[in-house]
Amino acid sequence: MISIQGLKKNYGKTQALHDVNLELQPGKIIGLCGPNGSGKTTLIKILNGLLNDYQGNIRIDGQEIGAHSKSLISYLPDQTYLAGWMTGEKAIYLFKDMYSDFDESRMRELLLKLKLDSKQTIKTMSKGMKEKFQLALVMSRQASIYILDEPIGGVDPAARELILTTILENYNPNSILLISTHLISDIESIFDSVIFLKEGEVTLHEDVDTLRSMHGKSVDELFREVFKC
Amino acid sequence: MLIKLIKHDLIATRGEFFGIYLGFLLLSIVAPFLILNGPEWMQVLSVFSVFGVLIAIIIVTLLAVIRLFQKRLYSNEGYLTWTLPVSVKLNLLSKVIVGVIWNVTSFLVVWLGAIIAGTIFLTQLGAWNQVLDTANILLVKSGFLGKIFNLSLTFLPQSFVTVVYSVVFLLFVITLINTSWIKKGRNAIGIVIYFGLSLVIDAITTQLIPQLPININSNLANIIINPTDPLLSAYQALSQFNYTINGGVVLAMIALQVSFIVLMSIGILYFVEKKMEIE
Repeated sequence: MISIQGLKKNYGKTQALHDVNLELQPGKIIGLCGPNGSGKTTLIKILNGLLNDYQGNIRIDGQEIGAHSKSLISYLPDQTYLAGWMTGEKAIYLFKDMYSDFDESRMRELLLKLKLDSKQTIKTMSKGMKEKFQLALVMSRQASIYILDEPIGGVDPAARELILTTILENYNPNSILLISTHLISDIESIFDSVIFLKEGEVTLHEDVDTLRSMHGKSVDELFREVFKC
Repeated sequence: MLIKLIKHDLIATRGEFFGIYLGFLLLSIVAPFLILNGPEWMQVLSVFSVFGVLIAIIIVTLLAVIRLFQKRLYSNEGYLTWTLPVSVKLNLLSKVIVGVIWNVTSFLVVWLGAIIAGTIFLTQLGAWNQVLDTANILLVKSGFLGKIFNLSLTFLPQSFVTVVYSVVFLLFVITLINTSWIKKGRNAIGIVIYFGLSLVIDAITTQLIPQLPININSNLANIIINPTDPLLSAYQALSQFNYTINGGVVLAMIALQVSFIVLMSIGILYFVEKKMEIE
């Protein structure tokens, strides 16, 4: 479904991604793990068509990144992408209008569950509320690929469980769910496989069960070992 | 999908325009009353307010179009804009169309305000008949209005192309500064590129098309001004107003602007598809 070959990305003289090769298949929850600055967000932005100056070959559902791939991907960035003047209702209207796979009734259920008021404007929402609202929008799509960039990065530990439950209860099981994080202990239980990204290079891409049986360690323990300062 | 994009872009930007349009139209209604009936300081203030809001409309239009491009394409809102399931071309086309719509709307609002203010002014003066008679002689019977109308119609296509050109030019510069080529000081570099490129394009245009598109021949020097009958003098001046349009030059100017639009559009597409970096 997602095929990445020889992906390189530089920011000036800084190498953000170096020769990344990945094949991601549907039906899996994949953890994209790495410390800050390892290239996770860069990779995600490239997959979503937000960074277009790169070398390498990317195919999503057999096609280059474009309108088709964007119709398949439901993307949660690591920042607010809704305009401050917008009310929640306006954002729902936009998603309903633009995405044919957007499920409004699911969105309404999520609003209730996450205790969000859709009449509130985005600018009056707290940081946590904005993140939850955007997550609700993203998870209300019946997408083939979900890409979530640090979904629990900005929320308190109590809210993390709610967010993870929301993700697990609402994603399409036949899809690819790619979650980037550096908070592995909180989230590793849901991963089917993990990708370790270190200084722009893939150092590991393995099923979690294989990893545990091979190393006899949790993903978090292995992560701390690989990325030890 | 294009209609949907345009709709959402208009919804996103309307707030910036509606306030200033409403303010201008209200001033157009209030100002004539204040100018005719208010104390002297209020008369002066009213005149300045009308001009102030008029200038504000021009600036707001320019800034709002810049914001439309910068905010919705290349800042945090760009994360949503560029991940919508539409092609790059469609996304950009929508922004250009909305930019043109707001430019044209601002122009129409300014005219509407002027008509409202003029009508109220004349009504307040109670001089409708006299004004209409004079206007009939000076504008209609002299043939001046008809000539101006024809002139406006002749230049309407070029004016429209100019509006499209100015919007595409802005988008070109804003897109260029959001590529991987420019890392720091994007706004300052954008301003320098905007004015620098404007000068270059003006120089190219002057070199390629040195002639003027219109020659005005009013024979004003031959008119003897009669101090006892200024209306007659004005009538003579306006009736002798004439012009010749250099059709070839008008077409060449349109062709040149369309060429610049095409070249810049190719550039914008290249920048977005190959070099864009959303921060």
